Amino acid sequence: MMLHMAEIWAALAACFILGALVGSIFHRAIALTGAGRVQASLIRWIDRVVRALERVLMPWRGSVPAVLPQTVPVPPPDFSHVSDAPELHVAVEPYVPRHITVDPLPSAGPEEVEFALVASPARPEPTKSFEDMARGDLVGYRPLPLQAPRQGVADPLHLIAGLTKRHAGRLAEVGIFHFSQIASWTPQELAWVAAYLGVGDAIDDKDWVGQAMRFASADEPVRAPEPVPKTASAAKAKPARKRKVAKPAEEGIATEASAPARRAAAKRASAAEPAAKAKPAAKAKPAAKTEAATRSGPAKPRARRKSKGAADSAAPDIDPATTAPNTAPPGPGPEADVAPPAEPSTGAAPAGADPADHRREP
Amino acid sequence: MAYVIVNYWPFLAIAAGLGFVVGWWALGSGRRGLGDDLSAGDRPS
Repeated sequence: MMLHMAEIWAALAACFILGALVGSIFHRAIALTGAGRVQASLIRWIDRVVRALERVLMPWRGSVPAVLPQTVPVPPPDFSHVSDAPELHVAVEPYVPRHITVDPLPSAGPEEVEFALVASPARPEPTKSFEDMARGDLVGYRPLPLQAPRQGVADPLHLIAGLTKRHAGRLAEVGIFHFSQIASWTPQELAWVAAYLGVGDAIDDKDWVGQAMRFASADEPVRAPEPVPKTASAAKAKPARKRKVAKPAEEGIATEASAPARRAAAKRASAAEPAAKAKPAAKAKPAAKTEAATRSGPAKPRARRKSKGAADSAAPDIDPATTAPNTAPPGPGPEADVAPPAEPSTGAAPAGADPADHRREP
Repeated sequence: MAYVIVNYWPFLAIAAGLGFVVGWWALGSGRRGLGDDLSAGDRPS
């Protein structure tokens, strides 16, 4: 009996599935002909009927719950500018006289690339600033300001494309000093700032917020780009650097050079030997090689340069451009400048490349 | 199985007809959650 029932249901299911298959094929066939439009409207009607039936049979579907959760209306926060309120005006006052001067080329040295916070007691035209603020208040909310830059140092906001130093100064006037502040701007705050700075859609177009987000989430703290070392400090640093370079050459040992860099330099020197142009270098290198066996570590461009300098010590007329400050990033410029004079075979070695590349050289 | 087909063929025919209608309707219906691209060719242009 059970088997018989199962057979009946299986047969019914098989017929239904087969019929559905044929029906779908039929639908597609009809859709290819001119009757497709009629078919579509017919199906739309059937849809309506089915929906009406659904509403009748299952009235609870597609409706809102009868009892809504009770909510309390929360008034929007009032971020409007408080310049009109005299008692609160005092709290805003410190931003106006505080004048941030951005010093793009600090004379103190490359390590001290920071923004000098110069507090001038009285700013002559605060009214224009207030006008701009009022213009911002018409279109958005003022971003929450900071009293002063965190740790006394403002971020170099002008690194954001489209944000000039003048803009950075004006943002500092309203208490915006950091990338993180810009990164957290809401659209309303963005509108306020756009009206305040008078930059129109530039903030959106240049994606200041996105850029600020990238800067704010950078692993290293963002510094202003290092200026070209033309300052007096760089000139002062030159003799000291020369001495450092010359010393290991006299002793025949490169003190700080690591193993792969030394090996590479020694190879280069031995390659240069036939040219018989850099004999002092050839003398210095074997000694460096023997010591290199005891040490290991990643090749530092600076160290490599030092060992090169040792090779170059025979020619004391070092170009001032090569004596860049220690913090100069490893790049092709200084490397190429300090390259030993006699390396005809290995001259094409890229600066800052992996030491393994040198090992692969013939 | 032959017994079922012989004795219950009207019901099987009804099931097949119902399946046919459902299959035909389901392919063109806008109630489907997925496979909208299938009906793209069906829409009047």
